[in-house]
Amino acid sequence: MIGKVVRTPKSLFRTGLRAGFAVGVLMAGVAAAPAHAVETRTFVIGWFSEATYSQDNDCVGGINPNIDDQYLKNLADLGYTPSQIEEMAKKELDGENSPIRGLMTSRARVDGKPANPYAYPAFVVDPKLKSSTSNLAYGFDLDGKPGPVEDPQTRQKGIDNEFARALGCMRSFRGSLESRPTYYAWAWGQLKDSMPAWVVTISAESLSKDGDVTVTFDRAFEHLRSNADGSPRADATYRIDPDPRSHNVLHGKLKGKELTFDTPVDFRLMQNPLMAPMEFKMTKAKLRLTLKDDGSISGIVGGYMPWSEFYLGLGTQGPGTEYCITGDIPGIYYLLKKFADADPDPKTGQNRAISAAYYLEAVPAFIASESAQATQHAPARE
Amino acid sequence: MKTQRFLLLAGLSVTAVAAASGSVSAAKSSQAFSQLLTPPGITTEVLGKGQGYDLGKQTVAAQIRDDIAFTDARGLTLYTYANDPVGKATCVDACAKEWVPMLAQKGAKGFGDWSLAARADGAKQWAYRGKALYHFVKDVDPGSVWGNSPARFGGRRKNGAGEYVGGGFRGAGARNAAPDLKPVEGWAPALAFPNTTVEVPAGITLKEVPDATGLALVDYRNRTLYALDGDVKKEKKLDSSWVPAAAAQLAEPKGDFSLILRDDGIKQWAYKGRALFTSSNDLAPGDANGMGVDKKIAPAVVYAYFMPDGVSVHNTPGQGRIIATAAGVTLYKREGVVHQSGGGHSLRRGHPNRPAVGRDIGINVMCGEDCMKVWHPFKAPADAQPQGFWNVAQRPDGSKQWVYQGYALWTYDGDKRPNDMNGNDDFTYAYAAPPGVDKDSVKDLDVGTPMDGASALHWSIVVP
Repeated sequence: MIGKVVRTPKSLFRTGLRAGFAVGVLMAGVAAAPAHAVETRTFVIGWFSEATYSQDNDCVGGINPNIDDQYLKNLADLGYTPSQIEEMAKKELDGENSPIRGLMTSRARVDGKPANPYAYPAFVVDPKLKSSTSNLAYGFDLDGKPGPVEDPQTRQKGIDNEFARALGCMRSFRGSLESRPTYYAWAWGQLKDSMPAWVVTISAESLSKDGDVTVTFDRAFEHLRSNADGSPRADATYRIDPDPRSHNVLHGKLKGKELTFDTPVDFRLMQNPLMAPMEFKMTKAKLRLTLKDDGSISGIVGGYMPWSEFYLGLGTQGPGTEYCITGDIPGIYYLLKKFADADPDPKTGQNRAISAAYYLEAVPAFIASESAQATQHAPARE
Repeated sequence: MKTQRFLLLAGLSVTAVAAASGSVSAAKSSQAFSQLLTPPGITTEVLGKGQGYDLGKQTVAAQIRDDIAFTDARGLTLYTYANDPVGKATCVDACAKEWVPMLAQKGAKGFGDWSLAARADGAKQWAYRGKALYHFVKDVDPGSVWGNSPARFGGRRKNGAGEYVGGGFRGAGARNAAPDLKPVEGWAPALAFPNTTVEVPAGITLKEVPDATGLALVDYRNRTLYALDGDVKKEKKLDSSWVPAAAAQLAEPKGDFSLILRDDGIKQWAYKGRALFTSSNDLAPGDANGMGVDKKIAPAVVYAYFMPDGVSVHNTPGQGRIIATAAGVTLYKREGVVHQSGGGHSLRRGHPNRPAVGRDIGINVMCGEDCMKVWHPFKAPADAQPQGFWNVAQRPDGSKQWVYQGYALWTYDGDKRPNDMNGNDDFTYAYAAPPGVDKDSVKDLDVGTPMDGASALHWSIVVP
């Protein structure tokens, strides 16, 4: 029914329902809304990132070096002597024509020959980057097995989030829900103004009382609309893209203002594929959301993520992103490979997925018919 | 005569323009005055960086299409010779070894700007506006001019002659390239664009309007002009989105442009007797959002690009106009990834056509056996010929596949109805040594372009 989405009259919202409230019957066409639903709210995701909970002292011996220092270590791994490295470092510092960047962008060795390290991460010497030792991480118990990791929000133990452990000592992947990790702040900033937005629809008999609830995630045709300060604009209108690849339905429970979706599902949202992850894809995903007093929602989605796709999103970006944003990209390859904890390859046994948790915030939005006037335009061609 | 039939269809078909979300064949949406840009066997190629060898960010963000040349079936630039009189080719013997005549196929017939020049040996040679056409033996790659290949702008790679050129990332190769070869006196590339064949008044020019698949009239802001098929005095029936193309009060008629004195006192431009308008639905140069809004009015396409039978420019809710089958089924290209700082990939022209990349990928899309069960070549008829931006690839089984602006075209089983584009942005792992893959099986992708990072291929919708 997704192609039959009904535009919710704005007049209704003006009569005290501007915060995204809508009577369910008007949204009867919204995808997967239960037949008995009488209340539906729609939102657009305005922030999406890895759910990080970085703390002091969660990296033994400190976090990983900045990229300039890491490159000097990598030079040693390539066999350069301390005096050679010192000479190159001096040139770099003095602004002279240092060979370091060139050596780093060809630091893989395939059959003994220099090769692109981002295309051939397995042929780079493992820089053995540090990983987090923290036992606090957002997420869910995905495998039902006991474990030491505890969610700082829910206090649940047995949390599976090896992704946070793997990247927890990389500078640009450290942060908190309030203090956004550098990589995601950069990536989201790159994406949000052109990538089709993600919309969330919550339906229940009543969102004011406990009971069953259904949430759908879809991709829109339009990109996220922003306020002048860059924050997501509430009450903007989006059309849902009927592409089934980004259509997700989760059934759960509402208790107070907390929504929990404990039945594992496969979860997929297409995004601009030139970022990491190339698309947001999880298996055995679980979700929790909070209805906030200001009408917005926030929450955590967790599951197993194919780590090689995350790597590929970084690998295609190459040296510019490595130097300016992420830090050692082949090093991240090794971290992800090491901490992968699900979906073993039947031939090699190497795990192909890694448990992870992502954090989202969404503001109220309207949903319009798919056939409404298109608004996307090509860049000017003067 | 096929061309005449085409023109007849073009004239009639404005009445057949579909609704805004419907399927609009570009050629058929053209005006009665539209002329097909190229005959069969003559193609068009963007010169220089527009070929996409250079993955510079500026190239990705806004592919340069400043010059479009008439080319032969291989994409090699065609030239005219100043010493040739109209209708006769005089470059023979030694001259013809360096400047090779663009011979017409048996049975070829001229039309519009295209004619056949006589050669001394009795052969017929294509001529554009009366001047015989030749290609230059020093041009070895599409998009070359004077023997200067655009491949030198990219990374180290072999050119069409098997010689290594280029050598740097993001266009740095050009710095290492040999100095540009100079133009040869007496010769000039035959350009489809810029096009100076139409005498235009001040404030009106001829530009590429991709959605209208042709060279169309645009106003001083580069906004697309639309021509009304009917009496302008009855324009009250047009909705308010149509804005008359106003001329200066002192403007004078010029060439095929005349002036209509409207009841409101405004002088309005008309081309070949048809009143010109802009559409308030167009927000930027290159937009043609007025297409299909009113059956009486269509972009003022003077030169229409060739579009094969069975192909349409289909208007979709999400991505505007795309190349599709006549039934509206989305057609795809296999594309090499290029990272774009600043995002933009998801925009409609966020991954513009880069013919060099498309040619390098060819029909070998490297997506595996399972993948090929759901992706299918978009077949061309057995007698299909290269023409305009369209070329034909020979498949191993002897069949032919349409190629558009360098890219072989495909359909996807996951698309069930018009407007579906469920294969768009589907990626293939392409970086070396994914988990569990041993070293011997590692093979880096060679799509003929230097990737800064790891390389990858994806399926992508095709915009005109």
